[in-house]
Amino acid sequence: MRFTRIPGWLLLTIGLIIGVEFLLRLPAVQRMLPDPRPTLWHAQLIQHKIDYLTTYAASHTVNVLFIGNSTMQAGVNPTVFDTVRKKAAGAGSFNASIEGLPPKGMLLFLKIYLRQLQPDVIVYGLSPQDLNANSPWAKDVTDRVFSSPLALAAAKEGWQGQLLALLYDHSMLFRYRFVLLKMIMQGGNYPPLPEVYFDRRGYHPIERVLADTPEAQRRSYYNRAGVMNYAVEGEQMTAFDELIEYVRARGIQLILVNMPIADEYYENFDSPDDYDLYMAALQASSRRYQLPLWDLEGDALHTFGPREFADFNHLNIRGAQRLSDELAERFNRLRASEAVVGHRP
Amino acid sequence: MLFNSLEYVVFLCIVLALYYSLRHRGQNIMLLIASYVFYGFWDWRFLGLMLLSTIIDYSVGLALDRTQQPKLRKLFLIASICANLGILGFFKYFNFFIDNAERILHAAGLGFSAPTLYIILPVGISFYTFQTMSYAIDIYRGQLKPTRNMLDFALFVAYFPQLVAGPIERASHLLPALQRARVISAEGVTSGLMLILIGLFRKVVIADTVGPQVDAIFSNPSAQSSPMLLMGVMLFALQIYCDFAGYSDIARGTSRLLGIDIMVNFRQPYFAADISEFWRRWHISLSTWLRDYLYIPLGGNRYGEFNTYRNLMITMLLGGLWHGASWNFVIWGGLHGIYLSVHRLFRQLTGEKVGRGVAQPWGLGRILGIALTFVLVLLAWVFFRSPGLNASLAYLRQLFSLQNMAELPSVLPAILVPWSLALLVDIPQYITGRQAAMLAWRKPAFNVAVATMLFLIILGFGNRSPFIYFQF
Repeated sequence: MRFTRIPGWLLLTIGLIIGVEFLLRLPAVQRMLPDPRPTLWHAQLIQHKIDYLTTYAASHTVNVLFIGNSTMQAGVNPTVFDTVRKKAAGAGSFNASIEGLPPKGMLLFLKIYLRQLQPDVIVYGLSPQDLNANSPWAKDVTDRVFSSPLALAAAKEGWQGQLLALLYDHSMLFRYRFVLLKMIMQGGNYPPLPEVYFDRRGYHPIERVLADTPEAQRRSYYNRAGVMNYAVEGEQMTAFDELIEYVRARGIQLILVNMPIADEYYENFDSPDDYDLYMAALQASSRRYQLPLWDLEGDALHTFGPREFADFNHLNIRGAQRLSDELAERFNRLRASEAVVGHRP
Repeated sequence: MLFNSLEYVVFLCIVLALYYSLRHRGQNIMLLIASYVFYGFWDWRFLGLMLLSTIIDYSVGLALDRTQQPKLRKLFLIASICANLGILGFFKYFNFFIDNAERILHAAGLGFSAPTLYIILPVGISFYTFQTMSYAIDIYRGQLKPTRNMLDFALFVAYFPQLVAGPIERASHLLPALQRARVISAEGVTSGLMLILIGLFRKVVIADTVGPQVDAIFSNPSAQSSPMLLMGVMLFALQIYCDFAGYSDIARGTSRLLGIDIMVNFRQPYFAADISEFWRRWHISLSTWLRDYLYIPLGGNRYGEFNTYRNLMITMLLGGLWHGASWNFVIWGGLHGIYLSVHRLFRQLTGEKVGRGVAQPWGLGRILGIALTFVLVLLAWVFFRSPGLNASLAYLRQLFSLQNMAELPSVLPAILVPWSLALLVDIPQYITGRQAAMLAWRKPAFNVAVATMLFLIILGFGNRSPFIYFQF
């Protein structure tokens, strides 16, 4: 047995680690390298969103935070919302939604957000795919979020998160390791990130109009994966409850919003009853935790039409303008009726 | 629990600490519990399914041993095969067959609407059902005596290092190793650790790093230039090899730490000089299983040329389908079936002997053979990786349109660097025929190689992606 070799390779490895750690601490070296940004495979710009939130929170009191998936990211324009709602000077809202994230992943990122700010209200926009226990997409995204060391480190989630956060805080090698590996594997190149498609307040404006979309393209908007074999149970429902309790425990009011969907979206469901299952679950949570539930899909007075959608479940700029207006007015009415923030735990 | 995760490191340390402190029987009991815990990490609900498969084949094994009546023995064997294929068929292929039946009947003008069930594919089911089936078949053929120890058999089915993605072990090899007391040698531990290091290097450093590029290219091939599509398929060939071979290395390394040798699953397949040699080097445990339990029982090459080609095609089509309930896997298998048939025909026309590729000396002929085989395998990978036939054909059309070839120099480093790293491991293995070939290197070279691999693993560790073959 060649145990005599162990010191040699071990010493070399330790030497490499220390040497690279030292080099990475040199500002000149750091300037030569791309920023070590945490990304998710389907949402590469997550760090931009966190950075934008940090920047905005430095000059404003973020007292309303919007969270949810891509439907919320494209559905609420904080600038419009803040224009209509009554607010104190210096206060502002931010759209911290992240595409694809069901409640379990959203909870992790909410923990990251709430490490740096304390909003009065969180508005959580939900769509049917968020609560489906059998969505392979939600499972895949959740698995990958919880396999992302930098996301776990930022949220300090679990013992692994604590350990990773410690490494992140104290080791440049840990911070830069994926950057270095990618650069090595690509022969010194580093793949550029996509262009940032959301604005400085996290809103993703989409210009496309569903009503003007050719039929062939419209067909590509059908997406059964999110709502197939619809069932409201399992880890996403559990995480949804955890998220509500987490927010309430911090003295923050939570408002649930059922996001509007186009008529064609219903064709994705296996059965017409599936949508009712989703609504029943939302209503049950709203009752159990005494949370306001604003149903922007079921409210016949505020039906959104194909000129306000970009596809079957994302609002375009016009739709987002209307939804943001509507949310602000409801928000004003809620504030007026409660006089002070209600339903605090 | 993934091999490339912190949980597995902790799990393995606990298992090894307990294992080394126990005697043989205690070791087997502990390994069985550990294997069920390991499997339960994915989904404990499917432990029952594995237990069912275990009980059926254990009982069938004993029943086959007890009776000499051919009819009754056949009946027991059929029961075992039906039970195993039934479990596999339901969990893996039910919706596939129902969907296709619906389409065919619909095309024939018959209205038929069957419910689509939401069925979760239990991880590792394709591997352990094949393993237990081969146990019953071997006993039926008189090639194996059944074990009377239920615990040993349960461990043979659930043995955690190779449970979820193989190698598909044979009872004649693994059972005796589980039944006898193991000797833990320093040599075994060293080579086991070396294999784990190589496996992690392949998986964490190579497969997981090129994976996102492959995903991006295959998700929208029509938007890519020809050099990018070349990169996509070249990197996928590398990804799937390093992912699966990496898993097998870690499985074998882990098992060696336990004093148990499991079979080699990959022998540098991209050095194959012909397609038949490729299949003797790629996923060896599956290809030998298909040979022994499908191709040969179908008649192999014993009943004339037509039947031989038919058997080859059936074997490869079913081998493709084994990978998943999707037509793209069937097409992939069919393509390899055609390759093998054409190769066989070519051999007959030229009078070349079977298996010459392995023995063929290095020279221009062998290099051309390796290049041609590699190109054919690459073409087949496009069908394996794309979501369907149309997508595969569109990918190939775009690739061969040779658009924007000026991009090639900028794309080349991203192809060459990962391939070079993979070859740095493969070439010594190929030359020496030893998977842990690096152990024989001189000290400075060995130290530099291990330290570099370890350092690169540290850079990539934690960015864990599931092993591709878990889904099969």
